[in-house]
Amino acid sequence: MRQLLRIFLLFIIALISGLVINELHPRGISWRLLFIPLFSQSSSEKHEYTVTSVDSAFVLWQRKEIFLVDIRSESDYLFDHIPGAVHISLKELKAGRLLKIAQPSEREKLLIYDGEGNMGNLNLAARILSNQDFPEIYLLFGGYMAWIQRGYPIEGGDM
Amino acid sequence: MKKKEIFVLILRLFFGCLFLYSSYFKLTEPLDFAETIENYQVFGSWLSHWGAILIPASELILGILLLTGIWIRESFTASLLIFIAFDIMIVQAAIRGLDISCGCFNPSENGPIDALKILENGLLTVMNVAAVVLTRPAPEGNMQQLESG
Repeated sequence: MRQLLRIFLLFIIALISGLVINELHPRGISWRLLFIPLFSQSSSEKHEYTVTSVDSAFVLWQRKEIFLVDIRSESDYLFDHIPGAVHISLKELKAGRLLKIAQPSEREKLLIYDGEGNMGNLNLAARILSNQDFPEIYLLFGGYMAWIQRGYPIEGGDM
Repeated sequence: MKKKEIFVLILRLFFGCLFLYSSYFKLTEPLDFAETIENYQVFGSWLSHWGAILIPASELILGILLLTGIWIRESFTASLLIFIAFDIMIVQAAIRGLDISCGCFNPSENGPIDALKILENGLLTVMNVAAVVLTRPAPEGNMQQLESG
């Protein structure tokens, strides 16, 4: 009986240590993601996401009403990106990285973009974020390429 | 030192080092490990994330306990439970023909799940069973004999 208790205790200690290590880890799994069944709404209440044109996106960006998420490769992002955008890979999105980065006020309205508006990637990213209860998600039609073609501002590009 | 004690010591050192090695990679890349668990298509995303927190930490603690010689039998029993769980996961993935990497000791390892991998894990489980049996406490009668002798 004492052995069973010790084994139980061992796993409890492991769980607590694991949670502490995860919290200290810069790429750890988000707390919110660990307790997502407690936070998430029923499937009927899931939030919608909208495909938006580059011009509408530009207006939202100008008003500073939107949090920009760049899901291209890190090297593409480092080369140039929409000013104010943060880079997050799909894998990191899945792990709830955005929940750690974005302040609660910034989570209200998100715009996700990739290189050329690949709807497969964008839809996947939107589904992931929708499951994490981000209320308003926009997908940039035509991607970063369309943004550049319209001559809208970019950051970087001087490398 | 008796043969049995030497054998247990070797098993302790072996499993202790194995667990520390294994936990290091899983703890440094929790997302990769969570994805590895999810790829087995047994647990959903939510439980995979919990697994990615519990399993590496358990391995770390088991590694420390086995190397320091604290709660040896309990540690071997707990590690046996983990190995049995791994065996079940691997065998079910092989039966279902899932084209995934094992990720048993390192989430980024790319080895497929094949007969060799099953054999490798089976062997570790057998070694673990041996460790649990060898660390079984002596019956009270023997203890009395030892004390009187």
